[in-house]
Amino acid sequence: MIKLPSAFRTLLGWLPALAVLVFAGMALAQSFQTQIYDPTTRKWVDYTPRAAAKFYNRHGQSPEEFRRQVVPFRTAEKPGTIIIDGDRHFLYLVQPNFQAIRYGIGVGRDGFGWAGIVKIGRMQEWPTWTPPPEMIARDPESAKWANGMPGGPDNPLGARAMYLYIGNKDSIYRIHGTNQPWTIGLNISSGCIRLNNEDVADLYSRVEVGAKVIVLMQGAALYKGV
Amino acid sequence: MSIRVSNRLSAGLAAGLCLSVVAGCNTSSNQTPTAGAVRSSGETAPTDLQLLCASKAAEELKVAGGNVLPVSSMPSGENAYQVNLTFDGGQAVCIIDETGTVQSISPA
Repeated sequence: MIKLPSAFRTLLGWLPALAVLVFAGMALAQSFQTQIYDPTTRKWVDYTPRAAAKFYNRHGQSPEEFRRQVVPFRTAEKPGTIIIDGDRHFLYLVQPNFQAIRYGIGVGRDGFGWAGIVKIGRMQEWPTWTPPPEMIARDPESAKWANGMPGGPDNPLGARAMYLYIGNKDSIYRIHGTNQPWTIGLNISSGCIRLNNEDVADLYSRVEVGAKVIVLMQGAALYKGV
Repeated sequence: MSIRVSNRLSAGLAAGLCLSVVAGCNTSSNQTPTAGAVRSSGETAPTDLQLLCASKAAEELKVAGGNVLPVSSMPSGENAYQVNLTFDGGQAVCIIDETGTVQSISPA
């Protein structure tokens, strides 16, 4: 019979506890997803990209919860502040009298979500989209736009973009429109926050450069600056 | 005349009873989600409560610049939430109830 060194036996004894810790960490890091109620089965089901596309094709818009609406919002943040709840797929624009305008959003997919406090550093109508080198490495199809895709209805940034900065430095993240409006409510982007084009134009008309942007996303990496 | 009033009163009471029954039905039917209703797969504190915790922590812990960020949250007992906060140089735990009253803030 093989006799194991005592240190190794001790390590083996700790393995179950280590496994629990690792899996607990994985669970925390796993991003929340949208679920939609299916009245035929009377069950909540995952709102997958396929389900989202099906819903959008059938109704011509996203589920009602993700449509622009004024909601009560108790906060000490000043009007004009943007608050993004990535877990619930909502963007709030703080208004006076404890109210906010709520918009539905799409956020970063697993591993691409983030949280932090940033500000709007620049704004652009019908922005040019230039895929970053990391995106080109992941998706060679995007290489043809390495020098920039002109703004327009086919541009992934949609009708408007608000560039998020830390101090005077571009964070590479944006709040922008989309040419895929059915993706609202999904974890689908590379870290940017997307709204449908009507909503992003509405938001754009209400905010100013310098506006504070607070991004909440449970278990996501913290963007420096906090 | 008095009989007619009584009839009206009776009719009114009956209508009210019917309405209350209907309202009761509506209340119970509201518990069943409507087609197309959405929710998140996880339960976090409402967004505004998370931010109220952050604002209160910035004030109480005198965080420079006031930048306190909620990083996670979960239900805590009945009608309350625990919100975990981070800021430059530290972390804190906030307990807030559904009315928006901060019950405690503890440095972590």
